[in-house]
Amino acid sequence: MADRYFLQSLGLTGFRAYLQPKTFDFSKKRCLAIFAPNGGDKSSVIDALEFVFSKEGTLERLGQRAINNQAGPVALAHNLAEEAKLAPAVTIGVVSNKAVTTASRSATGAKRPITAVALAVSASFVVSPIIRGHALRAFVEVHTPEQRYTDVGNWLQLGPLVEVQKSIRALRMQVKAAAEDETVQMHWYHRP
Amino acid sequence: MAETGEEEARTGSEAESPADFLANLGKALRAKENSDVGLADILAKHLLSAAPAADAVAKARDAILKLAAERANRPKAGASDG
Repeated sequence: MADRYFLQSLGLTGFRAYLQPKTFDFSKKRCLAIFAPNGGDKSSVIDALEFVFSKEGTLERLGQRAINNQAGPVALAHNLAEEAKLAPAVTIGVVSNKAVTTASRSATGAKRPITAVALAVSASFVVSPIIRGHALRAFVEVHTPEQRYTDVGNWLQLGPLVEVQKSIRALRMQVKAAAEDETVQMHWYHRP
Repeated sequence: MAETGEEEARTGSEAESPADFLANLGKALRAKENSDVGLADILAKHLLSAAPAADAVAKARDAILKLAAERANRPKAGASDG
């Protein structure tokens, strides 16, 4: 079984909307909900999570191409980070087997390599840990019941069980067909 | 106190993998009262697996048909009576 990890803390410095260092402590409570008005920097926290576990050190919604500092990796850093002499980075604290590992990932420069601990944690993900609002809206408004069934199956790691269900249905049909075939043969055999 | 509970919740429960779940399901099916042990064995052998063979359904069907033929041809106890 894969190692179990617990994300204990998340720190943002000069990253997205957070200029000054800010650390979120998850060690006291297992669940955390973030409430804030529009423009209240909620997304930056999720962005930090996505960034720290991303292979390329990017955000899906920013893409790779920089346009006037509004997109691409250059948009990861807070606009005033350089002026404030802060090195944009995201820091995570991870607990595994009671040992705490802290690692920072730079959010500037051409190379923004993933940290070893983030790589280890991301390797243990069964499904993506982040479900964006647009994905949920598509799930509710666009997807057919069959697609929703498949989505939920994937989210809950039920793929093998869904396959078993399909196999048992197929088996039932085949056994039924074989039994009916046998019945017909017996009928002909016993025909006077 | 609540924090202790949180800690236990974090570390105390081991998630059961789909493979383990299916293996346990096969055993539970076999052990269930009034279950058809022969049929349960066939399902457990061929289908209740996280990585079944490509022809698992065909193999299970053949095994069931074989089992059914054996049972159909089995001499009934007391068949000569009366």
